[in-house]
Amino acid sequence: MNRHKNPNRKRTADKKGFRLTQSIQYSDHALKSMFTAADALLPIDETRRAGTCRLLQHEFRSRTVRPLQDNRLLFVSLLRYTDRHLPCLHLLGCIAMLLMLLTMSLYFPTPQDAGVMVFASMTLPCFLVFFSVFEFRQICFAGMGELSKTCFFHIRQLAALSMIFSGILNLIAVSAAIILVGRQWKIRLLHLGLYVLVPFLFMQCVCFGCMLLEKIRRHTWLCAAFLLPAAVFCLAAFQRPALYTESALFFWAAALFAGIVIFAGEMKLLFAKLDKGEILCTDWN
Amino acid sequence: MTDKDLMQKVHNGSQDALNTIVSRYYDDIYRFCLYLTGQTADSYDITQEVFLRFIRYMDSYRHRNLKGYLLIIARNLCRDYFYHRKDTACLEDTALPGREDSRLAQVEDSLLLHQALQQLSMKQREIIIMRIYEELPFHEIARITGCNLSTAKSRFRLGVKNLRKILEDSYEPS
Amino acid sequence: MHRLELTDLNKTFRNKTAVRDISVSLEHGVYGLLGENGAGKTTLMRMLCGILEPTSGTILCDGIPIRQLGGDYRMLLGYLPQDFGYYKEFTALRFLHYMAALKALPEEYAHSRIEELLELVDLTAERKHRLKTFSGGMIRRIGIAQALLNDPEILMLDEPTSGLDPGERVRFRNIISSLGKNRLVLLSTHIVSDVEYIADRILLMKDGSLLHAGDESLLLSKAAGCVWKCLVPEAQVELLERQRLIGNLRHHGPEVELRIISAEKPWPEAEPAEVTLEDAYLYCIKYTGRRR
Repeated sequence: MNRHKNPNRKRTADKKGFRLTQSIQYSDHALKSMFTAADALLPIDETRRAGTCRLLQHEFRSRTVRPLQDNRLLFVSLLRYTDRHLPCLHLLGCIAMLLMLLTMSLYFPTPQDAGVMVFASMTLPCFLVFFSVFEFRQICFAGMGELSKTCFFHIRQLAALSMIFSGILNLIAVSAAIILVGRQWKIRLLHLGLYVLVPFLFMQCVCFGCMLLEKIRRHTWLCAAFLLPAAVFCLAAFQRPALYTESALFFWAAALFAGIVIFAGEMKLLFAKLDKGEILCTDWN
Repeated sequence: MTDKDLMQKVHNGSQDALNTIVSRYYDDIYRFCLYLTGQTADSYDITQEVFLRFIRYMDSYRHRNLKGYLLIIARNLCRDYFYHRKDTACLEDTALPGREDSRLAQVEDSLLLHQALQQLSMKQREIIIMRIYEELPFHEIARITGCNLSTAKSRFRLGVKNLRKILEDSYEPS
Repeated sequence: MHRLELTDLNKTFRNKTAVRDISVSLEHGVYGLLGENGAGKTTLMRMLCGILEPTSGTILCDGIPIRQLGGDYRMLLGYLPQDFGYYKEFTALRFLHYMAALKALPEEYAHSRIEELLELVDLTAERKHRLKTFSGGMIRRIGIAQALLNDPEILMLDEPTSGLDPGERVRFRNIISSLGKNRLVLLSTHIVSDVEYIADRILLMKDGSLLHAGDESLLLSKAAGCVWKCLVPEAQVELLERQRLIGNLRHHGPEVELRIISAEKPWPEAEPAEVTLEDAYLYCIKYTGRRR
């Protein structure tokens, strides 16, 4: 190491008493001051700068630069040309779910039927999860995934966009279901919200958990083989009356929180896998 | 005029806007390269190359932060420079004009800083320059250097510790 | 013009190493990536396109890691995968517009560019046909068109000629030759004649390793003196096939004309023959590099 222990250096140090040997003397601020002082001693060679400017002008003239498109317009053209089959189907699914609840409300109008309606509003939104999974699968496995990973808007953004869209759609539908059932049967919306969101999130976690597993995600029937028992378990587990007492609310809140944490973790893993290309290319040659 | 406006004009073919960008950032990029490499002439060459690459990537430029983008190119070109040089850089005599005036102490300080920086590893040096000199936030540094936030922070802590030690050792009485 | 620099690139899938220790620098020009099926060409291309992350090693574009360049790198890139998916209900025009949107091309630019490219790949008449009605060759051509949409400075084509008929192949070669002047074109194939006339440089892969990177003459020189031509009785062909590497065989009445790649004289009447790229390719694949 090249150390400066010459007398001059020491003299300088002595003269400037504020910079002695304690480490505190070289705070970030002091280091910044040293840089600023050094800057003042680094004049820029104007001829070099002018030379660079000339060269750049020449290079610039010899290139045809494509006009920069506004991000908003790019987004609009992406939406314009993208495949809208599944999102439309998803929207129809949401409407169908709400219509079913409405129809049921005609058949079970009395306060005694509140239990049936709560259970229906817990069960029906779970089916919406499948649309989210189908949309995700289409982006990753319909074959366009590899191609779109080499484009400016790449698969990570497309997958995020699809998840956001289907998430918003699901949340609107679930909120509508909660309001519909809660108002008619005089159930507190907060309670009903917890009852509906917990199984919904549970199914969401199971579905995207399946997407994380290589062997399962590639085969629809394997996905179904995992999802059906999960759905049955979900239905059976939530039929215990003890779960719907005031004191059980804590359990629901905790389950919701756990669901959100697990789901966020799954998303992080899934996107990490997408980034590494593990979901798109598992073959080699 | 903001960088975004300037870029829009450059994309529409304005050479004046390009000149403004160069004059706005030339000095910063040059000094950044000089602190990293310690070589005056090479730093001018690298700075020129930074702007040439910037023009080359113009079609694909969509960054929000123009200076950060230029620093990414500069940082990578400096790494490339060391990779091809293989030997460790030492400060040229010409890097600092030897002023024989009352600012001798300042010159000594500056020389000391340059020499101390060159004794650090490339990774620590670049992070110290970005954090202390450029005053960039850690998330920006992580983006430029391609590492995660915690790595950037711990590398900075380690680098500053080493830099302080080198500076303090330089003042030790012989 | 851009420079791609690959350093100690490796890719391992579980226990299979698909690409091992590849270090090479690519600049402008047409590069032919040759290798048998399973040699690691597609994996290498996927890594170069940023689709797959290397297990180790770096890929730099003009000195900057491609991961770090992100969208900027992808804006420079045109890629034709070996098998690419598409929405079957899309028309050719909508597919190209969708790809242009993904590539963040301004609408007006995309419109004129799409018309130009449809003309180039001879699909103007079918522009409003649905992709599900397209033949394999037509899908390949639309694939080439989408790869060229952003006028890419780095063009990667994975097995671009598969599914093309001879006429289309010639047309494709002409397109690539004209493109290679000011950009970097890397095209992978296991068909030697695809790259014979258009590639400036040949990269040869075997079992994930790069056996050769250089111009054609350098590859030809490797097999110099190892290519023989001879007429042998039909009964001897089987024996020779077991012992030597046969490049080509053609029946001439009771005898068979063989093209043999061998370091020593394979047959008493064998005469040295001029080395073709195919011979050199076979020679390198057979006699150099790592054994499985």
